[in-house]
Amino acid sequence: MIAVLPAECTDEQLSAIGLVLEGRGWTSEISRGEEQVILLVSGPEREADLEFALDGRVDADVIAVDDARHYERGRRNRRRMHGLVGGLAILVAFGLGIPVLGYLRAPQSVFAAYEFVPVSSLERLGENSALPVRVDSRLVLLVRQTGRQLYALSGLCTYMEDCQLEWNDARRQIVCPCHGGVYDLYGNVVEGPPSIPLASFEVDLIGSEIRVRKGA
Amino acid sequence: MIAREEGLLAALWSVLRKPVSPEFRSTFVFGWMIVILFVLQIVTGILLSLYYDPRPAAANESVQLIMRDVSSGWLIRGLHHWSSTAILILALCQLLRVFVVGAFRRSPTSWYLGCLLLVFVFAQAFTGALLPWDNQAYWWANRALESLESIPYIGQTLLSFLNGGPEVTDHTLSRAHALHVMVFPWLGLVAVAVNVWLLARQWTRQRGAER
Amino acid sequence: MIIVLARGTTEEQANEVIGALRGYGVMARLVRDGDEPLLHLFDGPTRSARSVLGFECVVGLLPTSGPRIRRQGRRFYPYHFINWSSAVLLMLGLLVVMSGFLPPGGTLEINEQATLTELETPWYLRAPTNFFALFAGRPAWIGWVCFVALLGLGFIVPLIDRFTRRWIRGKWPLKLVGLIALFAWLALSLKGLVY
Repeated sequence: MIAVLPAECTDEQLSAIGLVLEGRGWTSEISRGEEQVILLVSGPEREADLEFALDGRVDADVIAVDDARHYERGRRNRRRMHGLVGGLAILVAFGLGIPVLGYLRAPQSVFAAYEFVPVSSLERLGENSALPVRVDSRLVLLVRQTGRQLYALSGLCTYMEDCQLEWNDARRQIVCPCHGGVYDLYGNVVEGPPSIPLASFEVDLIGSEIRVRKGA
Repeated sequence: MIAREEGLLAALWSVLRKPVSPEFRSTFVFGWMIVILFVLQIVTGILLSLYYDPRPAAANESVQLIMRDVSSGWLIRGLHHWSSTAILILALCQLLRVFVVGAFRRSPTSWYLGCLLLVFVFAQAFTGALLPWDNQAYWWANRALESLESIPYIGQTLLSFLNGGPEVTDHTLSRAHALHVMVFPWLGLVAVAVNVWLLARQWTRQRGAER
Repeated sequence: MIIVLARGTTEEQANEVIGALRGYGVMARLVRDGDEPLLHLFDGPTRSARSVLGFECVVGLLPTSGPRIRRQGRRFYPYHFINWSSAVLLMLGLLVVMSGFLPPGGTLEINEQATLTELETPWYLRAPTNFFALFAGRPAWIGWVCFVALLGLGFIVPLIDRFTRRWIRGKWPLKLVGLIALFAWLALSLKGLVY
């Protein structure tokens, strides 16, 4: 039989217990550990009697050695539970982690808002001239200089946002019919009330197809 | 197994392995849940702030972008919203439990910190509800601040502090955003950390050492 | 911890097991319980003892942590940590389910012209709102003063407790006050919803 005693037991307490056990016909051997003291007891009586003998003197656990398999099984169940919780935690980590990774990517609608849209072809635009087109229901002026040099300017006057600009072929200038503002082919103000030049948009030329980028 | 090197890991491991006093009760799990929820709030809050646009004209639209277009945006926003509800309920339950069993006697500092935390959690919930800048939030803020105005002497000053103006304006959203993202999280974090440290110290102290 | 060895185990076999344990940092000594050879693991991380179960002479393990646990309590990791973590995982699962089935609102654009006739009070503000409504007809500042006073009282509970404990013994006053507070909160929250 084994009695497990707290590590705090002093040598005096242990010798006192040893004497008590001797008196009842038991022999005992002591083994000190970091966290407990083991008392190996052999004698004629059973565990219940040893418990009774130690009761009140010291807080001890009495273990019969042949219970080994029972104890090990108990701990195995607990280890299985720990494993289950650990597994569940990993599952949850992946279950939440993968959506978070997806979340961090910019959504498709944001990419779509900056796509290139085909608006016209090179043949319809003469050199040193501008052509008004609609990109996403917004007015944009396509400007061609010489050869394949192209850019796009905002088609709204910077003086009053809701005034749509027109291309004056004769004067070779962009004019605002509302307040008489005039811009050159580069979008700079030539005369009139506007003070801010026209904003530009990205243009892509694929073959003879002209594409303008949506968004600013 | 965690490598047993000297230093931070070893210190952390020794803390985790400390025996906890046998008087420890299972209802103490409320506090642990509050800590975890707090961390969850911070993480989901950071994720939400990646898409949230605090400009008044764009705030609502950005929230709708999160719910509609962003992959798993509904999950992140839902977690943030529901964990705020959970944290409120748990904080109230925790405070009630601590009061009823008299645990505040053992550590009054913990009680004060807990009360402060409850105030922070309420403030977070209120400022957070304002951030989507939708109709409900706007009119609720209006009504709440109307009642503040009626306080004599300090009403107008309070209004000016909390509102950034005489009534709910764009400045209110800026203030709510600053408080929700930059003020209360830090205060809450400090309060939680100190509270956890105090309680861990209390419950892992060996009875022999106390005598 | 104690390792039980099979009857008839030689000293050599026992030393082999002891050597293996030392490799894991566990110190063990051979003791005899009558004719049962036992190994007492007296120092080191005894969890690693599981690794020697593969030896033929090892019959089983006997944990000896009873007295220590009763005096010092269970260690935070793994015992409380695992229990708490299960609770947290359950709660996370619940939150995910609620996010899916009950998404938060907040999608109506602001309409500055029209006030909402039926404002939906957030559930956590129902009690304070109804508390203020109790003071309707009186100047609004009275409601605020009472509210702040109540909060202040709640804050200084430990101080109040220290001065009253001498003549109110026992835990029932706390339970009573707690019950009253809970009931008041619930009643104020449900007012208007249920009655």
